[in-house]
Parts: sequence; structure tokens; C-alpha cells
Amino acid sequence: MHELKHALQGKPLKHPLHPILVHLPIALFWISFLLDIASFIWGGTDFVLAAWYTMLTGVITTLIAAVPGFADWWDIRADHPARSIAVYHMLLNLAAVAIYAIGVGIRARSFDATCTPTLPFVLSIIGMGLINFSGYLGGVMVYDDGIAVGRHRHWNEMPRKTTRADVADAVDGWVSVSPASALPDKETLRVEVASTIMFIARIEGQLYALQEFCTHRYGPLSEECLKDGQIECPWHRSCFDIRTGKVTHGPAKEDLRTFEVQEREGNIWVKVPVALNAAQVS
Amino acid sequence: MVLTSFACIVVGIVGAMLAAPTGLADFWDIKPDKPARKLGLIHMSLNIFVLLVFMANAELHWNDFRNANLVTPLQLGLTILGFFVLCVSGYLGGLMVYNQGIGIARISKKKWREIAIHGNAHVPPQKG
Repeated sequence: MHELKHALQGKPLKHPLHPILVHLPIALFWISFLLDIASFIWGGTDFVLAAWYTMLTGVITTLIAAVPGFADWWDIRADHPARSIAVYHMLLNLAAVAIYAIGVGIRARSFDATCTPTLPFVLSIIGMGLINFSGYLGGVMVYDDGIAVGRHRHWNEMPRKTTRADVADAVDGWVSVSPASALPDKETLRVEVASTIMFIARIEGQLYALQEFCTHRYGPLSEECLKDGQIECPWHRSCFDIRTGKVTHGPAKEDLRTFEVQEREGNIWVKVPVALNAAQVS
Repeated sequence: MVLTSFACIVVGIVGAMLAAPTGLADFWDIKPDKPARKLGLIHMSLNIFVLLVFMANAELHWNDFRNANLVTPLQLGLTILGFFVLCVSGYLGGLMVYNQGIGIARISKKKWREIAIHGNAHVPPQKG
């Protein structure tokens, strides 16, 4: 299952498959729409027939592109801001492909027309609106929220959610955040303690806790790539020393905050961090 | 159907010319020492090559696109060549984004900075 997911996510290619495949349906639906317009201007069964073929191929390629899209969605953390965008993106695409499928069915009854009939043309306009807006949302997920960026360097499980620990349960300034069994070797937890967001990594048995956000463009370090005692940000490949949080490779210039973390009695404990950002906000 | 394939080529050429200036603007912001710079140059060169191939293709269709029933082997060959090189070039463009992070969090930088500050992260001083 794991290998299948990695393959659908395009990790061997260093490139997610979904954004490659979506070029086909988007281009085909555009061409189909333009051929409809050509049939109004110049007339001819050639245009009507070609618009049908391109739309049918668009529907088929949409269904193919949906599969790796679903694999991409699977690894978005439950509390990630892009998660809800992904759901809208999926629903809009499902609506669009349903409308196009109906359009293909209606058009199959009027191949001898010299211009595209009104109803399927209106369906095509609606489909265009849906698919283009949905494509824009897909782009927002990648370019604004960094979904699938650098993901091919992270072969272990992604954190599924942010683990929140209640400071009211703290004992002598330390709070238990998770059972130790929830963090296998080479994996990470994304943890929120007293509104401080950090990730905890286990490397060769040793636990490390650092701030979640890269100091360059604030990329998610819980989705990092581990190599030689360093962590690499998935977005722009800044590297930091896992023990000290110091920058070892740019573009980041500032070091990461580190936090105290321990394993005791089968649980992972974090020392409640000091809030520091009152001064930084402005 | 030669007519529709010709029309697609023309629309493709127009679309390529619309996309090129935005690509150039993205290229402009890549710092000279970044590996993505070289990828960007290859991506651009391949795209210019593809554009020329499809322009030549359109020129070969020019006199008979209304009446021809079949494309010539030369036209088909140009289409295959152009399409193949375009796929390679598109893949390189994707590598710049997904492997090198070009364009990532460029517009949303402020949003993520706010989220990081609320998450009590150490952040660099705001540039003036």
C-alpha cells in the first residue's frame, strides 16, 4: 500500500503526478469549448464531432488524474489550512466531470448538427467555470500552502494531525504530549504546547524538538527530510542542525528555536516553552 | 479534421506566447547561484525550440488546412517532436517548483509569517 501511495504521489519522479496529468483534461475541455465556438462561427459537423471527441477524452483523463490527486490529498495533515481547499477542489472537480459526462451523453445524439446545440454548450460553459476555478484552487494549494512541494524527499509517514497538549496537566513545568509508541524511529510528531508549535523527531532512539516553521518562508519542518544529523525544509531546502537548530545551509539565515524533550514512563514529555512573540508581532 | 488540428496548433502558439512573459518574470527572481537558474534556462530554450517547431508546423498547414484530408508525414513528425520536447520541458518546469521550491510561498509569505509568529516560532526581523 505504502509503495502504491508513493508511486501515485510521483516520488520516484521527484514530481507529483496529479499536476502533470491535469494538463490533459484542462486543455481538452478548453479545446472542446473553442471548437463549439468555431462551430457557431464557421459551422460544420467536423467541429461538432471534434468537440465531442475532445470532451469525451477530457472526461476519461479527468478520471485518471483523480487517482493520484486522491493520493496527494491523503497526506495533507487534518488541521492544515489547505485541507479544506483540497475538499472544495475535489467537489468542484466531481461536479465538473459529472456535467461534462452529461454533456458527452447529450452530444452523442446530435452528431449531424452543423453547430453545437444550446444545452450542451451551456453545460460546457458551466464545466469550464468549475474546472478553471478548481484548477486555480489546486494552484493555491501548491504555491501558497506548499502541498506536495519537496514531498518526494520525505519517505516516512507524514504527521496526520497536530498533537495538542494541555498545559494545565503540566508537572513541574513538563507536559506529556504523546505515548512514546506514537513516534517510531525517523518519524516526526507535530505538537502544540501552550500555543507554541514544534515538531519532535526520533533519530536513532534520540528525541529532538525544534520549532515547526522554517525561518526562511516558514515551511513545515515536521515534513522534513533527515540527513546526516540535519533536517532539510521541504520548500526551499534550508538545512538546520537537528541538535542545535543552527542553520547549516541557506536560504534561511536565522536559527531555529529548540525545546527540551524527554521520554519517561512510556510517554514523550516536553518542557513547557516560553512564549516569545509578543515582541515580534507588529 | 486537419482543420481542427491546425486550429489547435494556432491556439497553442498563441497560448505559449501569452505564458512566456510570466515565465520570464518568474525566471527574473531566481538568484544567479541557484541550481534552478540552470533548469530555468534549459526550460526556456526547450520552449523556444518547441514554439519554432509548431510555427514551422503551422506554416506547412497554411495553404491546405481547409481541404487536406491527411497531414503529411513531415507535419506528423514535427508534432511528435514538438510534443515530446514540450513534455520534457514541462517536467523540468515542474522540477523547479516541486524540487527547488520556485514560486512557493512567494505570495503567501506574510500569511505563513503570521502563523509562525502565532506558533511562537523565532522568525527573522521584518525587512523594511
